[in-house]
Amino acid sequence: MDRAFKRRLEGRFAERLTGPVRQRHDETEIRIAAADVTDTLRTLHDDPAFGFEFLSDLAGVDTGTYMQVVYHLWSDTTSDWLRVIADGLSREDPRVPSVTFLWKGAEWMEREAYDMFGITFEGNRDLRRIYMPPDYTSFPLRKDFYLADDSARSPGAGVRHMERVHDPRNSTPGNTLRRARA
Amino acid sequence: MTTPTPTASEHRSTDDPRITLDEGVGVFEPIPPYPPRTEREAEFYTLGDGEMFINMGPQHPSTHGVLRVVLKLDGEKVVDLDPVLGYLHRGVEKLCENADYHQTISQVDPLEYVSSLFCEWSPVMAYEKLLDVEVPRRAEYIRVLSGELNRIASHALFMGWMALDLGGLTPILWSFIERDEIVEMLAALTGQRMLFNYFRIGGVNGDLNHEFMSRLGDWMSRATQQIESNISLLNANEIFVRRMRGLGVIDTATALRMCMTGPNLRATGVPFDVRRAHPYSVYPELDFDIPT
Repeated sequence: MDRAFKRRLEGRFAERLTGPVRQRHDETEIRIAAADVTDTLRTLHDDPAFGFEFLSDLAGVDTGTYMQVVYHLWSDTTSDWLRVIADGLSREDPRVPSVTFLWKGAEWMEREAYDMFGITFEGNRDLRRIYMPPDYTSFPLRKDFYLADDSARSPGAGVRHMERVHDPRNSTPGNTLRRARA
Repeated sequence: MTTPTPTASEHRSTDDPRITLDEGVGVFEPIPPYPPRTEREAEFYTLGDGEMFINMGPQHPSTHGVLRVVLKLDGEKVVDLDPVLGYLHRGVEKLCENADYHQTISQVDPLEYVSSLFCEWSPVMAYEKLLDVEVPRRAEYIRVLSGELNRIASHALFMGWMALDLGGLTPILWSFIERDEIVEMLAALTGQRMLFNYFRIGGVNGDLNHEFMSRLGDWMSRATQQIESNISLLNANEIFVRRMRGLGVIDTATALRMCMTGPNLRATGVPFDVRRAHPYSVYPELDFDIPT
């Protein structure tokens, strides 16, 4: 069954795949370029031969050298799982087309990937931070996020439990440190 | 009762945690104090004819957990809403990134403190896949046994709380009886009543013991009857049925488009149960129905 599924994927997306179709345990994985996300996912969703109508999860990944966006799909008709990886996004300006035209629920998943990794989803009409405060400036799950440094710049920095916030901007340890250095 | 009230002009230390009423601490304006960041935000925060905003939360009796919802009302009808999340965001991913594999098991426990064994299960399974660790069958059965007990406790609490939010006090007390028995059982097995920290990479923390087995046997001899009477307490109640029936009906296409999961998706007719759709542990050997 899995071999047939693999052949179908290779036959349909041969020219778009940037790597071999891989199989590990009961999950199949294909890799595509960011530019092909819209067409590939639309085919997987609409084509009755695949019928991947359920988007289980969408996540961003920072490998340290480039970024990825991973889509986990499930098909109601064939009960196959498929992991689609949009590979090789640049770390400076990661951009990928939004899939909200297929799944409205992906809006929040894309907001989370934006909030944590700074990936821009073109076409998502509500791409703002979802968990971190609106005036937060960094992307916490990126590999170049240094915990102590970036948290010192965040709005909640230097606030001890049960302590009132007066002027957190000017009393953070990070700022004090920077002033002392300067 | 002659406590002097502090006036605004009175000098106080910056470490004084007292808050006077005219300070406006904790008052949430529904409209954000910055220009709209997205198309959707601009659309939502523009009022139509006869519409108004109401801010609900982040601390509100009807929001279990800290969630803030900005409601757009037209008269008494909610026409749109903007949920503001993140008040409970603890950065667990970041915590786990900076911890050992084993240390993360206790970090993920409180993510869902009513059924925390399932929160342990998924990372533990991920580590086992990554490390190619094979779990002994006995450990898999113990995992399924304790996990399913935890699921029953969680569902019992859900039913009780739902009735409590509708104003019925009895179901929550009845379901707490079930939950407490299960929690005591799991305490005998794991040593904790809530945040179990029981699963380990490649197995579980401890074997089944006598106290757990005897409590389990005790409870099973009367569980079915008790759970059925709990259910009939709700299903035979006309007030409950009238308030719940036909409420918020969602069709399959919408549910799939909105990426819904769990009981909500199954209620629309899609037989999606992760234990069947993505079989793990010893679930393929077990016989159970998927209610849709």
